[in-house]
Amino acid sequence: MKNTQQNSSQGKALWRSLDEFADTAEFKALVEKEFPNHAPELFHSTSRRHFLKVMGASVALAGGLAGCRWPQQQILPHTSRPEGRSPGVPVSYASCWEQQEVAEGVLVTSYDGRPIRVDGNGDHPSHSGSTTAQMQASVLGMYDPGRSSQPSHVTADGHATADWNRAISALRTAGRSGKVAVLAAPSSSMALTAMRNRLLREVADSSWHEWAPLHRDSERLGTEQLFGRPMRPVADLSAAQVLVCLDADPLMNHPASLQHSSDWAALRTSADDDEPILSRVWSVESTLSVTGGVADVRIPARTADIPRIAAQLAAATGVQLPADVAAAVASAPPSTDGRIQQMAADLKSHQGSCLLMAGDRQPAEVHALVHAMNVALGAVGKTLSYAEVAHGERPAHIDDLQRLADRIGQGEVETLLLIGVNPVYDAPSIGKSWKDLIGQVPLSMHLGLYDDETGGVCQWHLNQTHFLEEWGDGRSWDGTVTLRQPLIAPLYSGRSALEVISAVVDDEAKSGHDIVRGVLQPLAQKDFESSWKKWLHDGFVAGTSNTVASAPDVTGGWGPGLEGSMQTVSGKEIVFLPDHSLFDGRHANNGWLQELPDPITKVAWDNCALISPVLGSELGVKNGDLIDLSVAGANLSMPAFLLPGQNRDSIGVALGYGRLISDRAAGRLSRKPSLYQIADGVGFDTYALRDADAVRAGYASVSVSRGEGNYPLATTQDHNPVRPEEFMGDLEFNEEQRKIGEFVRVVDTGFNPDSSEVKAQVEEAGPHHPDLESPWTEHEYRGRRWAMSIDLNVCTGCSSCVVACQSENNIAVVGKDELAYGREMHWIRIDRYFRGDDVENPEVVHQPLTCNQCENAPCEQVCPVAATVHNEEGLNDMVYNRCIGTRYCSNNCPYKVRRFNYFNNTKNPSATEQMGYNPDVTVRARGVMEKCTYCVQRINRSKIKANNEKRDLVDGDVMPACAQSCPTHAITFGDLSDPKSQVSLTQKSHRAYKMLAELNVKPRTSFLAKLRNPATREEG
Amino acid sequence: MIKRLLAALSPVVRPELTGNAESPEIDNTAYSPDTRVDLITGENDNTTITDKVCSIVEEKPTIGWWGFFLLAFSVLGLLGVFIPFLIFWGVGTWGVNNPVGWGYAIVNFVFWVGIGHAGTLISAILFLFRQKWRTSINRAAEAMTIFAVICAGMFPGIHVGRAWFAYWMFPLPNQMELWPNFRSPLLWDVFAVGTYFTVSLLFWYMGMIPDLATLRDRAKHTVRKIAYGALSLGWTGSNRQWHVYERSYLLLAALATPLVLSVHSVVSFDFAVSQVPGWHTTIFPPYFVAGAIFSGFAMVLTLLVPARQLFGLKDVITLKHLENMNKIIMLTGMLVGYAYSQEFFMAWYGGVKVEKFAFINRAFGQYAWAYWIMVSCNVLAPQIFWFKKMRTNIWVMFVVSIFVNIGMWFERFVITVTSLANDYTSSAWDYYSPKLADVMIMLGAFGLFFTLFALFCRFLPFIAMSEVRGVLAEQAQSRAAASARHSSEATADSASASQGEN
Repeated sequence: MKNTQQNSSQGKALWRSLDEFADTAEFKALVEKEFPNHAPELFHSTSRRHFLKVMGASVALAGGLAGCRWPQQQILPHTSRPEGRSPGVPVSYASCWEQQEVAEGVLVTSYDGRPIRVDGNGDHPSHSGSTTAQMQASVLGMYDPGRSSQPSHVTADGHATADWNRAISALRTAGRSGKVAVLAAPSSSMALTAMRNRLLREVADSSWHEWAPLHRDSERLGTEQLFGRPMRPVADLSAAQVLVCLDADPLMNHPASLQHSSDWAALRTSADDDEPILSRVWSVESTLSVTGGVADVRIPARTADIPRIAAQLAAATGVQLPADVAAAVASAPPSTDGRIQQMAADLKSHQGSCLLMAGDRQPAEVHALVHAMNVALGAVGKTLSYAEVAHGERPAHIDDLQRLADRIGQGEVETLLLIGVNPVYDAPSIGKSWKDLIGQVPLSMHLGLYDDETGGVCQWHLNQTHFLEEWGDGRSWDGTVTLRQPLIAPLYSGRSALEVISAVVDDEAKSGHDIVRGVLQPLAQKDFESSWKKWLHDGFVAGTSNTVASAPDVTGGWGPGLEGSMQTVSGKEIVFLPDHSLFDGRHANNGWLQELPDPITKVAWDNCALISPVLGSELGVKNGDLIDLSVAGANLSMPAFLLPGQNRDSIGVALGYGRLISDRAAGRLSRKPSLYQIADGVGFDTYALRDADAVRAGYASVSVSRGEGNYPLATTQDHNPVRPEEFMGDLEFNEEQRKIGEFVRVVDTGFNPDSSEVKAQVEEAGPHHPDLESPWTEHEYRGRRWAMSIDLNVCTGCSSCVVACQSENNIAVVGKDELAYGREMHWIRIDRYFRGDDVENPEVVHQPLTCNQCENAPCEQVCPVAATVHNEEGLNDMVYNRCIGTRYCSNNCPYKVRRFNYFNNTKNPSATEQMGYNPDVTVRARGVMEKCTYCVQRINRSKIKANNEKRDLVDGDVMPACAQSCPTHAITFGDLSDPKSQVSLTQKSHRAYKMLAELNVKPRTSFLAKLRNPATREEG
Repeated sequence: MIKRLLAALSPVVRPELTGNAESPEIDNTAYSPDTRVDLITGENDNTTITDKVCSIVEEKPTIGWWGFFLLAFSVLGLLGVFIPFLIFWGVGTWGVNNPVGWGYAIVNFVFWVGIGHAGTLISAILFLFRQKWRTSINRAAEAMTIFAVICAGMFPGIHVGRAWFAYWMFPLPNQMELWPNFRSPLLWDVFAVGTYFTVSLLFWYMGMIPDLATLRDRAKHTVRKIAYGALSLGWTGSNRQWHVYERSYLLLAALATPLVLSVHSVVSFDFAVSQVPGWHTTIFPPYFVAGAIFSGFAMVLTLLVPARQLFGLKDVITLKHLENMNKIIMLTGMLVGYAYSQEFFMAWYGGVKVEKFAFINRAFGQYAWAYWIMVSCNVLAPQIFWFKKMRTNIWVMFVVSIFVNIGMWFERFVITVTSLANDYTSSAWDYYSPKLADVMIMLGAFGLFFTLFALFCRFLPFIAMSEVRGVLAEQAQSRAAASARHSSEATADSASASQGEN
C-alpha cells in the first residue's frame, strides 16, 4: 500500500501520536477503497495495530519504555539502556487505589512498561501489603477492551465520535459561561478538592455535588451527633479481644478491610502463643457477611431491628440513654433470647480490649450509640482512635442529590458535568428519573471509564483514565496522603478528572502531573524535588495521618431518630448489599470479578435474592426459582438463593448487576467472556428497588411472592443438590458430615485455649487408620522441600487469593455457561462449609483448596505421557506442551484441584488483554490440564536473583501470589528443609493437619485447624 | 401377526431362501445321554453348506441387506460430522466436567472392548475345549470382535484433549525426548488392546483362508478372482497345508486364550489402579472379564438371530447353538451379579467410609436410575433362561440380548460416572449429563460397527465352511456308528430275548 500521508499536506510535520497520524481522511478513504468491508475496529477499537499505534504514542510521549515514570517531554531512543533497567525484569512502582473515598497504597508490577499486577504497598503506614480481589482485578479493568476509547458527542444526526480538542474547548466554554454543576464521585484526593474549590470560586453560579450509591454517611453523621463534629473511627482490631459488629463487615466491606483483616488475624493467631488468647467476634446482621462467617457468635437479626438491639446493648453496658429511649428499651421485647446480656457481659469484662462497630447501612443514631459504648467501655485510645474527616461539612449524599435535582428543576444548571458517577444506573429517582433530570440540562457531559447508562443519555461522553494511567493522590483511612502515579500512558488517550476540571477552569488545561505537584507542594518539609522523589518512591507522604491524639469529648445527643428507630416494623425487609465482587457495579465489566464466586453463596455471574431456608419452604421455592419482589411500587423478579443463616424476615440482594453498558438492548445476551461488554445483561438490576427512602434507611419493606419459572445460577460448589433427600436418609448425611469434619477441623475453645487439648481434638477429628506404609521405596528429597500452610483460623473466605492467582498465572475466564457446567479454571477453590445443626444460624468454615503438591502424587502415576512429573524440590510440575489431555490425573486427584481446558479459553484475546498477561507464565492451550504450581515462576525468579547476588535463598524470598495477597496472612509458604522457616514452624503447629493424609499421598500443604470461641447459652 | 410381517418382508429378503425363514425351527436341543444331537440340521451335505454360505457373497445383495447397510452407513455418517466438530472445538463439546473427567467416550470404549470378548473366547477357548458347536458361529463372532475393537480403539484417540498428539501414547522413538510413562494403566491399555486386536485379526484371517480359497475357486468375476485369490494366499487344500494350518491354528488359539482374560483385566486396571472410591477394588479384573464375555455373547446373539433368518442359515446356526450361548449368558450374568453384590459386601466389610459411601451413593444416589437399569438388565433379565422354553425361543433371546447390551453399557456408565461425580471432596461434586456430541458419537460407533458387519456379511464367508464340513462328516460318522450300534443292540436284544425264551 502506498503511504499517501507522505504526500499529504502534513508532509514531514511532527505528529504527536501515530493515532493522529493514521486517522486522516485520506488514509481512511484509501482503506475504504482497498477493503470495502473493513473492520471499523481497525480504527476505533483495540486491534493489535491500533494498540501498537497507541503504544507508539505512549512511548513517544513518555520518553521511554517505562511509561510515565519520569515525565520529561524529550524523545529518547532506547539505544542506551537507562540505568538499572533490564528488559524482561519487572519493576514495581507505588501508586494508590481508591474506593469509597479511601485510598489504599499499592505496588504495581510493570513489565517492560506494561503494568501486570497490583499488590499491596507493605511500607504504607496503614497497610499490610495485601490486596482485595477488586484491587487485584483492576489490572484487567485497565486492559478491558470494553472501556470507552474516545470522546463522543451527540449531534443532530446521532452519536458521533469527537476528539479531545473539541471536548476541551466545550468544557472551557462551559466554564466561562458559568452555571456549571458537577456531580462527582466522592474522593479523598487533595488535588481534586483543590480543583473543586477553584471551580466553585472561579466559575460563576457553580455547584459541586457528590454521589456514591454505597457510602458511609451515617458514620460521619453519627459521630457528629455524639461528638459535635464528624470523626472517622480508626479501629485497631489487633487489641479487640471482644469485637461486636452491628451490621458491620469490617473484614470485607469496609474501606479499611485490609488493615482490619490483618489486625484481626494477628490477634486470632495469638491463640498459638505461649499465653494463648483467642478473641471473640460477635456479629449481629441479617445476611451472612464475611465477618459474620468468621464470627464466634452470630445473631441473625433484621437490619431494621438492629437499632433496637444497639440500644438494648447500650443500656446493658451502662450507657446513659435519654429517658424516652431508656423507657422504650425497658419495654422492648427481649429479642435475641439473652444474647444481648451475654454480649454486654463480654464487653464489660473486657473493658479497654473490646470494640464495637456499626455498619454503614445502620442509621446515624446507631453509630452514635456504638461510639458512646466504645467511649464508655474504654475502647478509645486502646482499640479505637479517631481521625479528622476532610470536607466534613458536606451534606449526606442523598440530600446532595436532592439539592442537585432542585437546582436542575429551577433551571440553575446550564452545564452538568458528571465525573465518574453513574446516577442513571445507581441513583434513586428524585421526583424524576435521572435520565429525565439530565435531559433537562442544556449541556450534559459525562466523564467515565465506560460509555455507560449515564454516558448514553449525556450529550458528551468523555473517556476517563484508569487509575493506573493517571496522576493523582488520595488519603488512606487514617488520613495518610498517598500518591498515585501512572504506570502507562493512557491506552485510549483518556483524561483524568483533575485534567477535565482543569479544562473547565484553566485557559490552558494543565496536566494531572502538574496539578498534583502543585497541590502537594506545601507538604514538603524541605526541598520539594527530593521530597517528591521520595514520596513517589514510597507511595505516600509520611506523617500525614490525621488521627487525633486524644478521645473527642462526648458533647452531642443521640439524634432525633433514636426513639423512632426503636419502633418495631413488622413484615419482611429487603436489604441492599454491596456485592463482594462488583461492589456497587463499577467492576461489572471485569471478567475476573464476574467469575469470582461469592464468598458465602459461591454463586458467580449473577446476584440473587438471599432468603432464609425457612422463607424458602414457606414460598415453596428452591435455589434458582424466581421470586417476585415488590418495594413501594417497584417490582423485580429474581432468582432466590436459600442461604442458611439468613434472617427469615429479611431478604438480601446484592447491588451492581444488570448493567447495560453497551448500546445493545436489555435482555439475556450471551454471557461468553469473549464479548467486550460482558457486564451486559448479567444478573438483576436491584437498584430498581432502591428508592431514596431505602438509601436513607438502609432497608425497605418488601412484599415477596413466588414467581414464575426459574433461572439457572452458576456456582462453583454444590453444583447440584449433593444429596437428593428422597433417595438418601440421614445415614449418608452424617457420613458426609463426618468426612467434611476431617477436611476442615474446627475446635471450640474459650478465650484461653489449651494447646494440648486443641491438639488432641484436632487429631480426634481426623480419620482413624493404621500406620501408612508405602509398597515401594519413596523418593528422597535432599535439597529444598517447598510447602505451604493454610490457617483456616484466619481465612475469611474473602477470595482475594483466587483473583491474585488468576492475575499471576494468566488463568482464563470461562463465562457463566461453562462455569455452570463445572469447568471453572480457578486454581484455588475456596470451599465453604456450614457447620452446626441450626440451618437458620450455622457457622461458616472456609477452606482454600489448591494443589497439595503430594509427594506421592496420584496424578503423576496415571499420566500415560508423563506430562505431570515430580521435581527434585517436591513440586508436582505440569508440562503443558507434553499434556495430551486424557484427564486421568484429574480423575485420580482426591482433592479435585486440577483444571482442564475444555475449550480454547484463551482464543483471540484482544490486544490490550494480551498486554496484561504475566509473561513468566505460559498461556495454556485447549486440551491441556493445568493446576496450581506453587507459583514456580516466582520460585525460579527468586532463585536466579539469589544466585546473582551470590547468596542462598532465605525464608520469605519466595512468596506465591495467593500468600502475598492474603489480607489475613493465612497462607505461609517456604522451605521445609529449613527447620526455622515459617512454614516448618506452622506445619509443626499443634493445629496442623493434612487433608486426606490417610491416602498416603503425602500432601505438602498443611491446614491449621480453626478455633472458635463460642458463647454457650449457659455462659454469662 | 409376526408371520404376516415376515410374509410382507419376504420379497425383501432373498426369495429363494425365504422358504427357510418360514420353515419351522428344528428343535435339536433335546438332551439324550446316549446320542449326540445334530449340530447341523436339515438335509445338508458339504455341497449344500458350501452353496448356502457362498451364495450370500455371490448372489446380488437383497434389498434387506441394502436397507440395513445404508441405515448403518448413514448412522456412521454421524461420526463424520461430530468427530471433526469435536476436534475443531474441543472436548468441551462433550458433557465432561471437572470432577467427571471421563464420560461417554470411556464408557463406550470399555463397552466395545467388552463386546470384543466373545469372538476370541468362542474361537480360541471353545476350540481348545473341543466344543464343536463353535464352528457355526465363530466366524461371525470373530468378525464382531474385530469390529468392536475397532470401535473401541477409536474412543481413546478422540477422547483426549489434543487428539492430534494421541500418538504420544505409543512408545515411538522420536527426537522430542518423549517417552510414555509405563506406570500408567492407560499405557497398559494401549498394549493390551493393541495385542488383542492384532492376535484376533490374525486368528480370524488365518481361519478364513480355506474358505477364501473356496470363494476364489467359485468366483466368476475377475475382480473377485483376483481379490479372493490374493486373500487366500495360494491355498490348495493339500494335505501338508492342512497339517500346517491345523497346527498353527491350535497354536494361535493357545496364544489368544490368555489374551481373552488379559485384555479386559488390563482395561479394568484403568479403574482399579486409581484411587477413586468405587474404582479402587481388587474384584475388577475377574468381574470385568465375566462382564465382557456376558456382553460379547449378548452381542453375538443380537447379530446372529436376525442373520440366520435373513441368510437362511437356520440349519447351520441351530437352536442348539443359540441355547448354548444363552446358557453362557445366564452363567456370566450371574457372575456379574455376584460381583455387584461382592462390591457392596467389601465396601461394608472394608470399613472405609468413602468406599461405603461410593456404593450406597451408586445404588441410591443421584445416579440410582442408571444403577437399577443395570441390575435389571444384567442380573434379572437373563434369569428367564432358567426355563428351557424361554432360552429356545428366538424372540425371547433376542430381546434379552438387547437388554444385556443395554445393561452392560450402563454398567460401564455406572462405574465410570457415579464414582467420579461423588468422590472424596464433596465440595467438588457435580452431576454429569451428556451433550449432543456424546450421544451422536455413541450412535456413530454403532453405525461403524454395523456397517463393518454388513460389509463382512457381503464379502467374506459368514460361516466357517471348512470347519462345518468337518462337523458334518463327524456327524455322519457318529450317526452311522449310532445306527450300527443300534442295529447290533437290536440283534443282541433279539438274541437275548430268544435266549430268554429258551
